[in-house]
Amino acid sequence: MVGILQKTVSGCGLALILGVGAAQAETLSVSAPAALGVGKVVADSSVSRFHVDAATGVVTRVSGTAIRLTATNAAVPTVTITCSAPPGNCKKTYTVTITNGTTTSGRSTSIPTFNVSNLSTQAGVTFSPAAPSPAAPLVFSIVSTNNSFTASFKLAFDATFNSSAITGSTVWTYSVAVS
Amino acid sequence: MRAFLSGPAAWRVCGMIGAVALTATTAYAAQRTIAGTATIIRSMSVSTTAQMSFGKLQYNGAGPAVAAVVLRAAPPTARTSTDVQLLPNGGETPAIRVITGEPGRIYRVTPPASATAAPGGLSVTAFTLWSTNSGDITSSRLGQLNAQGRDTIRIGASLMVPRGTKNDTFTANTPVTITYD
Repeated sequence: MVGILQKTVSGCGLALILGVGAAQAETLSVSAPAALGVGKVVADSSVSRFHVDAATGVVTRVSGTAIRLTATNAAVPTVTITCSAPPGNCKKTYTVTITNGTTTSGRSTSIPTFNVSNLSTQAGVTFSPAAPSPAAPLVFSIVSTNNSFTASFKLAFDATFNSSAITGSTVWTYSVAVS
Repeated sequence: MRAFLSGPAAWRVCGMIGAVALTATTAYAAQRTIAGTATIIRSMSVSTTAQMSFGKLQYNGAGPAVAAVVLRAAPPTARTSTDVQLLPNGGETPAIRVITGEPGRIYRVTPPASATAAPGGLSVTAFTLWSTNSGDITSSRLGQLNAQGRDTIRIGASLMVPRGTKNDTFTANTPVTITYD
């Protein structure tokens, strides 16, 4: 009986030590911004691509013959990444990866490039590169020497529409992962 | 007591506690799914079913140097003039365009400021617009496609006829621009 209790206490002690050690890992979160609305588009007989500028929201046709009816700029969402933890644990280099998810078959195709702007954070934290080039997937780093931080950026993309696209709503999903 | 705290069982319980503690506190990655949206609407097409014709007419009276012939946009087709002689069997008709596109969409019609009629290059002005779905749209210039995505517009105008114009049939091209509003 005594031996069993000793094992129990020792085992739980080990679990407690592991738990306490792990409890000091940082907590990362990515905000849930509103959807980026490209607006109304009249599709045509060719594949068409529109660039949404993350900095301004200006939408310009890059290729094809589709026509965007919406005259106003797109409202570009801001993504905010926060890191919080007990002292010291946000002092790392974090990789931010923006990747394609799903799209609406028959109406649109996968996002060819993402673009970011207005990268913002506080002293002690930098983006690498400072101005990431458009790409898909788009990968860049947040280099932190702080105990905690908040970093944000505007995120937009190039939208592509099928030739003779089926009318109706189309949705692109994409993910922002930080690790 | 012994049944619950046998050696292996005690290790398993504590191992589980440790695992739960680890799982709950090692959140060093995060991911969020974001959406982009757009609405695709049907392209518009316009076909011409009739070219504008003021029909057969002549002006040999003693009226003003230039007199107007008004071709009505709304059905039934009609033309009026106080000075010009309007002759029968000239096939007069407003320009008629059939528009198809996204059901329920508003569209805008922009006629030219003026055009010329043949023969003689007579001036055509004061365009008027009539829509099957919306009626007189001369002022608003806005029409709406019906539930089937269809509308027909009729384009009328005034033909400015110089005194001395001989008997002939006058037609005009009317290059209106039609776009989604």
